[in-house]
Amino acid sequence: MISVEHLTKKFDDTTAVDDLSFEVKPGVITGFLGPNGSGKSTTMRLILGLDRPTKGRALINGKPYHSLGAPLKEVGALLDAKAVHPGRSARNHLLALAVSNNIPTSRVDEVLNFVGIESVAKKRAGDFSLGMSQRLGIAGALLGDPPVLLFDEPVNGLDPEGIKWIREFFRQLADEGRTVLVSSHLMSEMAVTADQIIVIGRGKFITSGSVDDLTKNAAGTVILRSANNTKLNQILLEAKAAVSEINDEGLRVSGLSAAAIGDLAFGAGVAVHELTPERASLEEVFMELTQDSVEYSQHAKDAK
Amino acid sequence: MNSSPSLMSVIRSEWIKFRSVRSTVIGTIIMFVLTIGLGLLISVAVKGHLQSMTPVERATIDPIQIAMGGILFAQFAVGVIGALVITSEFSSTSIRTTLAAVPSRLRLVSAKAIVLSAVILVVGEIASFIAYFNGAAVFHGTVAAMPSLAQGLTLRSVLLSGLYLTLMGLFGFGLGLILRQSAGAISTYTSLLLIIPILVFLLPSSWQNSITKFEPSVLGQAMRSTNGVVRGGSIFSTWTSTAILAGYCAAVLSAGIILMQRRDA
Repeated sequence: MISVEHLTKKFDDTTAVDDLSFEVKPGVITGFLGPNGSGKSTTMRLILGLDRPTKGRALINGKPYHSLGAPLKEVGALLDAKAVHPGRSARNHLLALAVSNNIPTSRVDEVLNFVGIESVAKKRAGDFSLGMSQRLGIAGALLGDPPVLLFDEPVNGLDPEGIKWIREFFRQLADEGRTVLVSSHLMSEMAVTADQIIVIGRGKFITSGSVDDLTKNAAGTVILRSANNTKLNQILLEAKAAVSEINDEGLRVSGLSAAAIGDLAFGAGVAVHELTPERASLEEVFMELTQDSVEYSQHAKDAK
Repeated sequence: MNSSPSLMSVIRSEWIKFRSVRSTVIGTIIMFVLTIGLGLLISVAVKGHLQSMTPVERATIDPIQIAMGGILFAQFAVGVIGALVITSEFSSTSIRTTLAAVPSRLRLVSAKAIVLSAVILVVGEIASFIAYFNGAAVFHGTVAAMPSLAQGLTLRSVLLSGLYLTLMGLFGFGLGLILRQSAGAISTYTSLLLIIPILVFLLPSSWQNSITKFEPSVLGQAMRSTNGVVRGGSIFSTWTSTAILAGYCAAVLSAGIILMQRRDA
């Protein structure tokens, strides 16, 4: 369980994380979503005690990170796959981590095997591809067999096979009753990976809930093609629907159901050629939710 | 489950890190080779000039200083090792992985300092003794014959040579903690050793005398001195010099630790 309480982090002139509060529960995969520069990585660094919060706090099973006895046995994290000394072998990197937290060294070979990089364990980590580095990072996160796991953009750099592997791996961790927090700026990725989703933008909490909850509440649209789009457009606007032209032939209508649009067209005597309800995709919900909070300015880069 | 990462665990971890990276291992070897090799080279060169020296020069010659001449070069290697132990973690951002495993920054810095000191002290003492015996062999039977280790001052001089290298390694480490960049820390270290003496040289000579003795390498020569004489000016006593150099280390290390506690990783 991770509890974030009124967490705030200000850098010189920007607020990277702004009064953020949420809880991450065990047994499910929680997606942590936001556009690039929205404060996801900063939040994760604050949870791990790497950055000092300006206000508020983050707790792991009720305790701040600094007071954890052997942190790797309680929290496993993969923030940046390249956060490894490039000249050190993968095995020695893991060995040093294990020894610092009194984790048996036999565990190093176990996790190397699990992520499938045992054959390159003696090679310099600096020569690894991004995908191999991600696997090494995951091995490091698993060293202490921790009940809480954090992954920052873990899918970056993985090939399709690796992505499939990592999704199944997250599912397995959650099924074992662990707390799993996975950040991403890709809604489509989270839609297939996560059970619960927390959305932030510009460091602020926007919404949270299950994938279904988030799409259910969003308004759907209807694609309409007819013999006389101009006439129907007029009628639909009178019925307080929002209409946009897709191209010469079609209209996208929101605010009315497909049945209501069909009835209106019938009443007006216009032949309908197509009437297709579109459920809002999670991607659209996400765009809608975060459109005010996407930072286009230079600050986004500074905050990262 | 809740066995806290003790200082001993972190020291063991840092020892694995120290010996599993090429730069620190090669740096240690370079320090060893420079201390012994250049010490021997300088001893042989000085021996060849003994005949052409004035009687005063010959009377004030300190064979130990000459045998330990390699330390003037090895001190650059230890500064680089000291700085790299911490700056390589910042430049590769592996400091984040390290701090996630060891959240106590004081404990991490202490463990690194202990491992660094232990390695340089052991290797530095071995190299110093070898350099001493080489010098003794070179000057055997000359007017500048090496005093035996049975003389307290001689033994002290050799032992403090290893300690000097250790303190300079810690000084480089402290600069690395403060500056967090390899290039910045190493060039600052080198500047302090090389540029400051040049700047001091441009000052009026009365000022030179009072400033020169505070320079790290002059403090090192004073630590090794058996007769209280260093060419080119006045120096502090052996123990005062040791204390001043230790003070420099304490200052940069404290500043580094305070900054480390305050800064985001």
